[in-house]
Amino acid sequence: MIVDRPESHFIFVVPLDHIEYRYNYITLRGEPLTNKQYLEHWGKWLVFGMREEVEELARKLDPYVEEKKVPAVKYDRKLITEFQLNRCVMCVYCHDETKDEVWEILAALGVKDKAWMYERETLEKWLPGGVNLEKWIQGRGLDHEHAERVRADARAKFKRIFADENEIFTGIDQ
Amino acid sequence: MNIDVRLNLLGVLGIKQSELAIDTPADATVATLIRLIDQHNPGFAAALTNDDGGISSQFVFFINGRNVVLIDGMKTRLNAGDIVNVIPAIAGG
Repeated sequence: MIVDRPESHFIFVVPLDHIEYRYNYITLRGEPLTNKQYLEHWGKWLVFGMREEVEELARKLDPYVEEKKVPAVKYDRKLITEFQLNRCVMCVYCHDETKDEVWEILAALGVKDKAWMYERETLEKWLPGGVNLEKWIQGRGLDHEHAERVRADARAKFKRIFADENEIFTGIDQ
Repeated sequence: MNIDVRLNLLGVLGIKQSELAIDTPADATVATLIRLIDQHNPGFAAALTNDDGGISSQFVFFINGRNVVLIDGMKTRLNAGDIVNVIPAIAGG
């Protein structure tokens, strides 16, 4: 199901079960991941394109998400001007043990450029000093005080989410 | 050996050729390839390399979809038929 909430920067493709029954799609063979497992194994294939292109791919991926062959997808609603990219980014999520199967689906749908990134790599980029967070701060023109608050919030959020490595990972608000 | 290179979203670098087929020596590494790409896109090597000679954190260098930082960085060996993809790090979600 394509979930398009205007208040979010992202548009998601998740199983209907996730919306109706809170089905947890961050799993491996039906088993939910702990925080530790999430950081070690969860990641995404990156796909780049204009909004119309990623939107079309999202529609094609929707049935695979419903069948749970692809756990979930997320893509930019619009370009992130702070990042000066000229394409929208789509993330096609899965456990690294199933990433080859998910890639086969993407390749069959015409995706050519292969780029796998672990979520831990992305999370590190959104921590203080990380390229994404610092670029976002710079792009927003934040003064020093505001920038420091943003950095502190990012650090606190990460610490809060991953406090216990053995707890089941419950997601990150986006 | 032939290596296919795709330089994605790198308009900030003034990339002239974003899709390249690079002929490399048999024992080529990522460092070798970056120097060869620089011949087509001057400034590429300087942008991709940090002060310690490693890959700049501003970019992600993939070989067949794998981030080379998770393999052997600049020393990662290339193989015939490898497909290389370089993106700005901020594009990584």
